[in-house]
Amino acid sequence: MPDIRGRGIVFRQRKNSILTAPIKEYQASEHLSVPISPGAEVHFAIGSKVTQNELLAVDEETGINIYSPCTGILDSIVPAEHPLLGNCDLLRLTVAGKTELRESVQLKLGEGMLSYQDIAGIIDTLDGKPLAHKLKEFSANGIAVLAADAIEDQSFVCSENGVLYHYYALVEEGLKIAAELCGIKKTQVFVYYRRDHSETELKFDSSITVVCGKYPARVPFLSINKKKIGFISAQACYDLVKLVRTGEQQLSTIITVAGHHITKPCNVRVPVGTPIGEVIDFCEPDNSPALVVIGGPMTGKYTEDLTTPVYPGMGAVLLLEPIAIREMSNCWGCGECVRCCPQGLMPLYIARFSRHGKLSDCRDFGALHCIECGCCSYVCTGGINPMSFIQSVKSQLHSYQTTHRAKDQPKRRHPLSSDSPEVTAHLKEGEER
Amino acid sequence: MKLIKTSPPFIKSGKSQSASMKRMIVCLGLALIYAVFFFGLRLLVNAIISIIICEFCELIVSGLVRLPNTAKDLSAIVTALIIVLLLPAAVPLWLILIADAFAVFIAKAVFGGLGHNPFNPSACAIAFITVCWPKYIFRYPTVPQMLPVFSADLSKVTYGSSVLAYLNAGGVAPYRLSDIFFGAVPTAAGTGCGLLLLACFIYLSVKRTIHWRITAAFLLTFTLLSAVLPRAGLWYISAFSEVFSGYLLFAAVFMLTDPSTSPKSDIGGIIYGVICAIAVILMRRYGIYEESLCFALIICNAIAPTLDRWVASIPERRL
Repeated sequence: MPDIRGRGIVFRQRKNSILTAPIKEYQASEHLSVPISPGAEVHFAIGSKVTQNELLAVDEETGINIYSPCTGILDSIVPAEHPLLGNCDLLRLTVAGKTELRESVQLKLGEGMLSYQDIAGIIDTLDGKPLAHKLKEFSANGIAVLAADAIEDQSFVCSENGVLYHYYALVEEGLKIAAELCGIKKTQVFVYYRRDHSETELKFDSSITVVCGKYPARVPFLSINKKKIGFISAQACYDLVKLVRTGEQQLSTIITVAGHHITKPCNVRVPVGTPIGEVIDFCEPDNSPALVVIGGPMTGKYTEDLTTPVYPGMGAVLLLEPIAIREMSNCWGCGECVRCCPQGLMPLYIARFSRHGKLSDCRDFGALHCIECGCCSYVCTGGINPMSFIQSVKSQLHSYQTTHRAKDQPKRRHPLSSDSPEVTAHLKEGEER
Repeated sequence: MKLIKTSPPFIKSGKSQSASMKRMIVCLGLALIYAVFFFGLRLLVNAIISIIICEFCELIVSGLVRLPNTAKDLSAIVTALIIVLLLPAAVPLWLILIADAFAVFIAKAVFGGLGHNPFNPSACAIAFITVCWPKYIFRYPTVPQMLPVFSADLSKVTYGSSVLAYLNAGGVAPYRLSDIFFGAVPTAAGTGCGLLLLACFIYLSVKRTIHWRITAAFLLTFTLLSAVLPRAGLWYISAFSEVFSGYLLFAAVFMLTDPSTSPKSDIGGIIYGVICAIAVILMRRYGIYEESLCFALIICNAIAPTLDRWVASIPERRL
């Protein structure tokens, strides 16, 4: 059982009751807005009728096929901003009844007949990337172990864990299918669980590798025994089995709705494109002021727009207790952030330098190594958010590098230019994570 | 539903600065109570006056620079208590006033307040007093002795030489080792009891209020060096009296580990402790004052940020 000693933080998980309760179903509401990237080619004219599980649009750039989550009428296509996807178009659908899946849609699959094209509709809920792309990359990069990832180390969030808990056999089967597809021999299932910080004890199947270190748990796990590991989400495995068995595409996704201000927290299966406001109402929020967060409480994204559509990769919608963030001048140098940083950085120095605009000093203190886990801000006794400073420094450093590279002459190597081996190594490392 | 805007992470540990300050105050309070048994209630009065002066100075500072009220952050109370405990028990009140004002105005406020001061405020204040009024600061009353509680007349107080004064003169202190360990010898008010200070060290380390590595590295290096290079008499007696006399243990627990003036990295902290121990050994041996720990501490404060920068420059920084 691998355990991660050393730095990081531990917090109350607050999710076992959510995890063990059955996954609820949320029926499609009156309107759905399916997000697609602006360049995607829509196969239907506005006003035409679409059927559930029918190909709606194809995104050439990312290779994602978008299927209709409901039977209804395509109302309009509106440009919007999505916290996960950035700029996107929303296909607004009016729901008109539910249809059973047609027989003809079902895939007829034999041995080794599955191709990347067949699974183009599945989006990995880990990072919102298409599963087919990820698998292709894995086989090209010589990944030795394909892992189903249910390492949810942040509190509240347990949608992947929930899938694993309720449909373990299906996840395992899906993982095998995916491994076969990309030619990887070894598979492994990871789950994050700390007995000491959970309300009830859980038992996992013996073939599951339990990660029980501190948050953030994923960092040291990119390679075990020098074998590269490729992570796909447990939900993607589940969706893959469903696709192979019934031909049903990824029309819905499982998200955790929880937080301090949700009275009935649960894992709920939601059709893609449902506004998060409806899902929150489904789980009965109390009416006190709250923070709406998409994703985990440490790394999630804040949103004000309750019409934001649900999309695979969200993981969770949380209604959290608002916190007060104080100014950088409140830093009294206690060093808690240094003691917990999993990368061994000194966040307080980077934050101080960034406040004074000293970019090169920030780089000297390793700002580019930051993985934006948020530990420093979580433990800060001064009530500051050092991570926000480091994030801005990182983006500044990256933009500085790109502009510098354009100007720089090929022979003279500036230490900051992207050509320098160190910086390239940093960038590569960042991408891998 | 009312929504509020912010950036990740969206949860906090709930640890606060005042909590660690409160733990420091509890430990300093214990040292104060221990000293009250030796010298009477005068020390308590001194401490209260010192706290009032420090808080008043903080109020003036926050009024002058229109900052949010820094008097609430309890750091001034810690500074005030450290100053009272480092001064002899029979010290005139005006000296406390000067020390407190120096600590808050010159050593802290000028640099931008808590967390931005490069030097430990109480060490600066004591160093300043040592330079300007050495005759008051090294005149320790004999123990036990009930001092007049409110009276300014200190003519009846008897004074004795401290362990370090004997060592400085090249002799061995004529005190029992157990008396040195429990602080029953002429010394600064709160720095006597080795047992209590070691207990405070363990408590604060377990509560993660102080960086134990700094104190441990400092004490180990100092003990080793003073045993290898004894000043007078047998090596173990010399080492024992050096470690358990003067400000040494007190400073190792409460001043060296001051989070804002010590290095934040683990390796930096260990090096800091070692350098500080060497500096104290040298200063005690070749300095003109019997106890020059505060000067050594200030010098080491100055190199603390450099140490952190050096640690950051180590290529594999997973320390």
